[in-house]
Amino acid sequence: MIIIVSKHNNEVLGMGFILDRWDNGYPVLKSDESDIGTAYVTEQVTVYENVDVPAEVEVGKYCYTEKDGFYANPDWKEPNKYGIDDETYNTIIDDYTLDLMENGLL
Amino acid sequence: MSVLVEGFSGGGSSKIANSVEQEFYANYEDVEPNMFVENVPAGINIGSTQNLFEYINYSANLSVCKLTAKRIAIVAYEDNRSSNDGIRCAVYDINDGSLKNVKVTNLGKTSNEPECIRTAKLTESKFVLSVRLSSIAYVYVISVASDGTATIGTPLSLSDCYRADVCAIDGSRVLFTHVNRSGNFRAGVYSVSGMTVSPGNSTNLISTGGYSYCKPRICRLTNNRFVAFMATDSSDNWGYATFDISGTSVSSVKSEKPYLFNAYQMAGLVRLDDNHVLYANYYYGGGDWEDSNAAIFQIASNGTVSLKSKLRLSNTNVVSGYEEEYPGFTELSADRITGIVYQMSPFDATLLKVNSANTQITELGTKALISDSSATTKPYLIYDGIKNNFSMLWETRSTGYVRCRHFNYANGGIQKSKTKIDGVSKSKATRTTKGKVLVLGG
Repeated sequence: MIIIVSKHNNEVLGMGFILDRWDNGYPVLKSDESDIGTAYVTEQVTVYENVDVPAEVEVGKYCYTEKDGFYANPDWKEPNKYGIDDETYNTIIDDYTLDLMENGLL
Repeated sequence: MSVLVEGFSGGGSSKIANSVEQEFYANYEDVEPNMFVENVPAGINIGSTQNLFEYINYSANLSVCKLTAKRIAIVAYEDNRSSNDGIRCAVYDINDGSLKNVKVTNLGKTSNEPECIRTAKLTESKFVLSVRLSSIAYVYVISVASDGTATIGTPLSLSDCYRADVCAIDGSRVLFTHVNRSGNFRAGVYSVSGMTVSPGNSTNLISTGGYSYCKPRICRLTNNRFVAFMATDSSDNWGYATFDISGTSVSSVKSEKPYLFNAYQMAGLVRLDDNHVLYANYYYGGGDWEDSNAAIFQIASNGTVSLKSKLRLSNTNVVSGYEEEYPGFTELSADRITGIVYQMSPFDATLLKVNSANTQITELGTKALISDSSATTKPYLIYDGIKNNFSMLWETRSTGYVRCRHFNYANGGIQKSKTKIDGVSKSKATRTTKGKVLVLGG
């Protein structure tokens, strides 16, 4: 498998089977020939080809280096169940908590 | 129903203008001296920072309308914690790399704070303004005199409107779009005559299932064709509606949902040519379009939208703008360079260039431009009309100011940006970062 890894923190950004290139040199990772694929900024990523990827590896959740192989991304954070940004999520929690307190329910 | 309760007629403008002008100068020194960043991308130079005017700390109450290559009007709900709060129209001239305050007009008060403000240029001296109060949208014509004085016309009120937006088709017609409580995305073309907007019919274009999560991004492709992208369910699956206008009629051409991708609401859409748009998004929490992406979509003659290319942006910050606001994603020049401003502090900007075939996107630079600890949402980019020059406007939370800074982009070149503010040089520091000279103002 081909994997695209961030040079910044070794996070796995993409996995696929076909590697293409735009004219500007950006690598384009595709799952198959019919896939438009996703391009990556050349200066920001490292491309690894012919990598054995364990089943548990997911984009974002894992990092990769040639030396250490795959390892859990220390910066990974599970998204909240509502799929909203943390600021909005925390605002809702705060408002609702305040509401409960003002109504004597908490 | 009268919601705009008093003063929405431009009264008291000179008094407001004077006080704003004083604040403008008085607070210039309050701009954070360290409002610069280390990692400025090659060729992006930072100019001066201006406090334009004091303004409420609310993220959805600012709209910038570019009237001419050199003149903009900023409409904002302003709350200076006194009896003078209301909607202001501040006219600025872009002058040698800075914004020169021409005039500020207080358009009047509203019964409560407007949910959102939208503007669209009708002519070089007239634009349409839409504000929404509760579920009612009010559409006004604003006339701007040569001296910058704004005059407001009689409003057209439209009920059951959420996610309201306006686009001027020409000097005498306005496209008004909204989502109603039932979640139907609708569009209508209304006639403008003098200072009034006449009511007309609107057309259902796509049923989204709910207004609360449907936040359309609308793009004008040609004189008569538009495309709108929007989330079409509560899981952020996006669909689209392509529609045509003729006279004051709107006809649906094609719509599909969910279809395009799954992505978080923070996104922008900008026209590339008659049948291509550039889209950028941030997606929080994984999924098929996670992190920040830019993508080119093609709109076929039958209205069908299809993905043509996609680039994962190197910056994973949040693409402006928040919720239903999205003007931070703006074209910059005729060189197919587009700027995206990310909303969180510090403001990051990415400059993208799309090739002539609309098949590839190149990042020209990405890094923080402004480190403003009090910055909040809604940065605007304004193309100055000079090649590779642009200004960014943004609002601040803690200080409650609209601020502006001028930038210049040159391919790897080093060019000092202007630091004049209304003719007063305020340059304070010069710093070399990664071989680039930044001339800092403020």
